[in-house]
Amino acid sequence: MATTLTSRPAATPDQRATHRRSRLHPLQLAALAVIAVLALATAGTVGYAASGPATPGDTSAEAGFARDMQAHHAQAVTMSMIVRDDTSDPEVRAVAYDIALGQQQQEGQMFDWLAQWGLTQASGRPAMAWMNDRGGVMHHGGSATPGSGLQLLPDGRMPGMATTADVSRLSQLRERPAEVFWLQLMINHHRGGVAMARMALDMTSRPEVRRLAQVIVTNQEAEIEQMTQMLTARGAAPA
Amino acid sequence: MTTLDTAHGSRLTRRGVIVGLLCAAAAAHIPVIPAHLREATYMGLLFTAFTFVCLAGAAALVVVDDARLLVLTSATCAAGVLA
Repeated sequence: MATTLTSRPAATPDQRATHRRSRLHPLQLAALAVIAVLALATAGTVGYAASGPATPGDTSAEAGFARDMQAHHAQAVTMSMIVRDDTSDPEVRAVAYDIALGQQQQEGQMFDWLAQWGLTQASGRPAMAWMNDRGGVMHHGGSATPGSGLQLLPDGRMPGMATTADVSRLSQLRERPAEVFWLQLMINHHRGGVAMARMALDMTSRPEVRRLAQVIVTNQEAEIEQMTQMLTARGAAPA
Repeated sequence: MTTLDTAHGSRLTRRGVIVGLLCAAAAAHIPVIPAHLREATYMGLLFTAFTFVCLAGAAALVVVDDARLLVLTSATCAAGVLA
């Protein structure tokens, strides 16, 4: 049979009156207060989690950036690995290896975002369509929005992307010509990547996307500077 | 002190311990609920349910001295540890 915890024999009439008003011992009340606080904390935590920012949708800037930048990075990795085979110059090989490893790792991050958000890695939407809401990109040779510097090339390539013919030519060159051509291609590639990352910074408030976009801007601007110096040292200039 | 007093004191101690364990189990699960709701919703819901069951059991145990309730809440604690 259930009984209450406290039982105080020989209580005075006053004590009995008090006992009727509050049948719980102060320790029991304290325990109930702790439990109530924990229950409120649980409810608050669940409410906070439920009302948190929803994951980006399929046509969101975040998803578009993750997909397009993966494709952009993939070409940088390809070109960097090609030039590592084309030249014996340790400086170029080191920079190319650094770029390949760094961008491969960033591709993995963006791949994981899409997986976490329950989105497909590829989309039927045109490249850079995610910028359309802000008018940041024009298709097929249209003029770019002032200040954005972004424009899909006539054949649909994203800014800075090399053509298939460029990549083929790079794989055929050796030593100094390969180094110069790769540096020129990669500087253009990075300029396009920086512009895309800046656009993403303008369009998203998601911390993980902003962090990576900022890293891309910072790293690639530094690498543009470094590769420009390497080009100059080889008697050439950015294309 | 009578045998009855000793038994009552022992059960009171057990209730206190189980209430403490239930509160600890609930408190331990609260911080991990949001991440599980995001990444594996069913686990987040299970953690939420477990937390509220622990708290409800603890509250009941504070107010009611019942042997069956003591067994049930002890089992809840044990289940939390085993899971």
